[in-house]
Amino acid sequence: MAERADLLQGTLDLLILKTLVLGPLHGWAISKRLRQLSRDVLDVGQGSLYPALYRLEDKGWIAAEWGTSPEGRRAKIYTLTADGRKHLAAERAEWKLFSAAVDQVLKAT
Amino acid sequence: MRKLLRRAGRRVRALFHPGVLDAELDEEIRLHVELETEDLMRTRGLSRDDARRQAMVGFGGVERYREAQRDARGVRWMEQIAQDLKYAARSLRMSPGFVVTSVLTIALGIGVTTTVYSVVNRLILHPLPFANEDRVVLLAWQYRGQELSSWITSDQVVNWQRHADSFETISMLDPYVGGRVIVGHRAIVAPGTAVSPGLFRALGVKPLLGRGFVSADTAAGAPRVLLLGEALWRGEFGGRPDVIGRRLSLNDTAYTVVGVMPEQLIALRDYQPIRVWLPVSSATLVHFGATMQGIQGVGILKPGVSRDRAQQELSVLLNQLMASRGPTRKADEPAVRLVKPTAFLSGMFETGLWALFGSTLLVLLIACANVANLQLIRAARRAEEIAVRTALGASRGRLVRQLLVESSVLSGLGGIGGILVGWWGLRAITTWHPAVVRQLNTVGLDRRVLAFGIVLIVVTTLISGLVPAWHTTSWRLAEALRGVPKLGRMRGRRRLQSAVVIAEIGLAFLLLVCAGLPMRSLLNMLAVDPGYEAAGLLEVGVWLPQARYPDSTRQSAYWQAIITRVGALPGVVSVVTATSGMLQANHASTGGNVQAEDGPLAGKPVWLTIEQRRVPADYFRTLGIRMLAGRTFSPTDERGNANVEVINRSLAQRLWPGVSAIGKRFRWGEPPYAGPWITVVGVVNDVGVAGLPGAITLQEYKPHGASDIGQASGLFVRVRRGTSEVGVLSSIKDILRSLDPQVPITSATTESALLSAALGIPRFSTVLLTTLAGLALLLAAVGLYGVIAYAVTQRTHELGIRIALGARTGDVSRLVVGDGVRLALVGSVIGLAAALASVRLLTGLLVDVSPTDPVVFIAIPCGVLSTALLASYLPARRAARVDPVIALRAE
Repeated sequence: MAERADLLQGTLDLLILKTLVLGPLHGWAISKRLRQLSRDVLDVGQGSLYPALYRLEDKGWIAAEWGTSPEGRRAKIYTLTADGRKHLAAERAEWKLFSAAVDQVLKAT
Repeated sequence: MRKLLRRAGRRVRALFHPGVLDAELDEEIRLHVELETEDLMRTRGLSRDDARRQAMVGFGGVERYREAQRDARGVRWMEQIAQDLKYAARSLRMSPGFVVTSVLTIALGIGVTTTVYSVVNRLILHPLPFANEDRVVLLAWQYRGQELSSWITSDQVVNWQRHADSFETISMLDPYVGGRVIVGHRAIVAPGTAVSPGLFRALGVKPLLGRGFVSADTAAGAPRVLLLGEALWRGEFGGRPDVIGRRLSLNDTAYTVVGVMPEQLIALRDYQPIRVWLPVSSATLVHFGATMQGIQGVGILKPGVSRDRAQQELSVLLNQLMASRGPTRKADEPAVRLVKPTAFLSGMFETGLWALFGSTLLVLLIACANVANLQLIRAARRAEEIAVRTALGASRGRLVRQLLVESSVLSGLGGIGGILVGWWGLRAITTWHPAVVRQLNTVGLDRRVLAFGIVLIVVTTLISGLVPAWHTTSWRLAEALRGVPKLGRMRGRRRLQSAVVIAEIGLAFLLLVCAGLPMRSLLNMLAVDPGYEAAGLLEVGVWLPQARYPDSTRQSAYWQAIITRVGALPGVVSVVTATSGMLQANHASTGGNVQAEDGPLAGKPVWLTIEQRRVPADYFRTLGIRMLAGRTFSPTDERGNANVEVINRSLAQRLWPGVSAIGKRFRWGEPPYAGPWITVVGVVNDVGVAGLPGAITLQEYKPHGASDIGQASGLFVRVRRGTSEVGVLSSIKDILRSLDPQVPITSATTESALLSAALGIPRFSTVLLTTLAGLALLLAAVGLYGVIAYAVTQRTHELGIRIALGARTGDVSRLVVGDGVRLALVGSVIGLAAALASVRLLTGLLVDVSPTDPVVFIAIPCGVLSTALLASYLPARRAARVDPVIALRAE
């Protein structure tokens, strides 16, 4: 449980990985897609986005490469790695379990 | 694994190229803000400026993210250290004088300490150049209440070899098997050692050439083989490989050379030269006809077996063997002790070396104190900077770390310098050390010494940096910013600096005493009149082999021929045969009741121990022993049975106090066992052992008869003043070689060289101690200078007022110098107390000098105080030149 003490961080990692499932994106596009997918509910503090990206890259779950963005600019493009995909699946299962449990508790009251 | 490598690579990249990563991050952030701005313009219809502002707000403080990002890189602390280092370099560059002084001080301190440590390491800690040195032991022998002896009997070693299992191998070691070796047509003397065949392999020493010994070499009837020592091989055989298989005559027996052993093996034999190696085993000993020969034993313990356990095992085996031979008295039963092979050697100077090492540590301590003081002074100048940094939120721990990084930069530089100084010091020691300490030939900067040097650097950093760092950061912010710390606080700081200087002076004083006393002792030894004239006296040793010169006719002919030819050399005044060297203290002496025929002691026999020598008539003239009364022997004395003798002054005074001894008679023993009456024909000066005052004994000289010439073992040659002694020596060697090349020359040297070698160890240690003490005084003077100079800059204001109010130059100088001298006085008193408490430890090293020698105890305080005067005079001069106008305007 110690690893999940920082729930928010774990969640942000999960969300970033999820956005990359559909294909490589650069930093801004990731934040944009997070907003879209959550219907603007989740506005990730962009400041924590980049450290998180670095951390995920460091862990080897995503890979970064300088390339050209759809807007035609030079940008650092992030891709989900095989490790990242595996990790996402695992985290997703955990998250489902966790959210179901929270739901359960909330329903009970 | 690959992942790990990749991550490590990224960390390293992050450490060395933080700029590149920061630039990448900047670019990413810029893009983010731009895209966000465009997005906002598009979706919300904002103006570019508004959109941009909102995008920035949405992003938050850019710097904070950068920091968070860097933390995520996981190199934060390393970056901080790098930052500290950069900062330290910048701030040190601003005070080059301080840096140079500190680095030099530390370099000297660390340099001498590593030098002396490597000597201690070589002589005491790791004296054996073998991979398994910890497991090599000498099997020594100790009878109840007696001194440890390295001689044991071969039957014990054989018993242990058979039954003990704590050892990988037990070897016999017979150190006296060398002799006369014929190389080509020439004979040389080759000291040799015999060992059991397994020893070299057990020590891990491989022959340079050929093979080592095998057990077949010691079987009865096996061909006789020997190994050459490296020095003999290189010196006499030019290092040629075809020496293997050659036949060599050792003591007139033929041996075959089967290998060459490296020089490092001489460690087994107290570092005495070993020119040839022979194999030995119980079989050869029996073969030589000795079942219980005295030999030495060397063992190599099995890994993991303790010395105690092995010793116990040997004791049990020893007791069993003793018991099997019937009952013995308890006192006759020896105990076996396992000791280091150098135990009998290093004991000679072990105490002195540790004392020396202690002294160098004190010097290092003074060096650290000096640097700490300099740091304190510098810190005072930086009080403002530190205060500002505290105000800006730097924590105390952070500041202490910053200051420690500065200290470690200084110690690091000093340490590098110190290793250079140490390297130089070691070169000085290897080229210039007393000959008896042969192992110092090979002393060097090895792994252990370097590791020790690094430990010293760390310790130096902590000692010289921690106190100042702590002290500096404890100043109150407001005071420092106001620029004038409260008086009490300033006084506290000065008191700390003064205490450090006082301690330095005290330590220097102590070291000066510890060097001064041995120096006085050395001067005393040099001043001793040995009773003969060493300058112009040569001593040549010759070994006349019994086999070639079996009777006195032939021996006599040989010596006569030599004397004639050497006597004819230009510059030679006289030549006599010698039976022993002058410097040998343990000369044959006889003890017994001696009776004088007349005079005050007539009829009252006294017990005397008298040194006896048989000498030719020319002996006294050749050696320069002064004839005080009477004459030397006449040809009649030498031919006949006339019982005449020459005695020394001490004996004459003992037997006939106050009257002339010439013509008087004395005899050994009392009737009915009395010897014949002996008539004294001459009295000569006392001859002492060079360099040892008070060692004069009673001496008598008997005439050297024709039959005594076979006992001769060399020549004494007196050369005229101004003749080249070395030139005559080489001519003598040529004569000896041409007369009979098969007679080996055992030694050829000048008496002056022997004298100076005899004083080698005291001279060596005195020079080292004096160097250290001088260094300590110099460092203490630098420390004093620093503190006084700093005090002057602190007091510029006050001094300006004094001068403005009419104080004269002299008054101001006196004020400043007075401060310095006061510190020196307090330090000297403390040093004096410490010296008086510790000089008793030096007593063993002193000859003819009292541990409280007045000369030393007057000269040293004078020296220390005049050094202090000089050190405080320089800042005093500056103080006297303070311009009151400038000094007062500075506020």
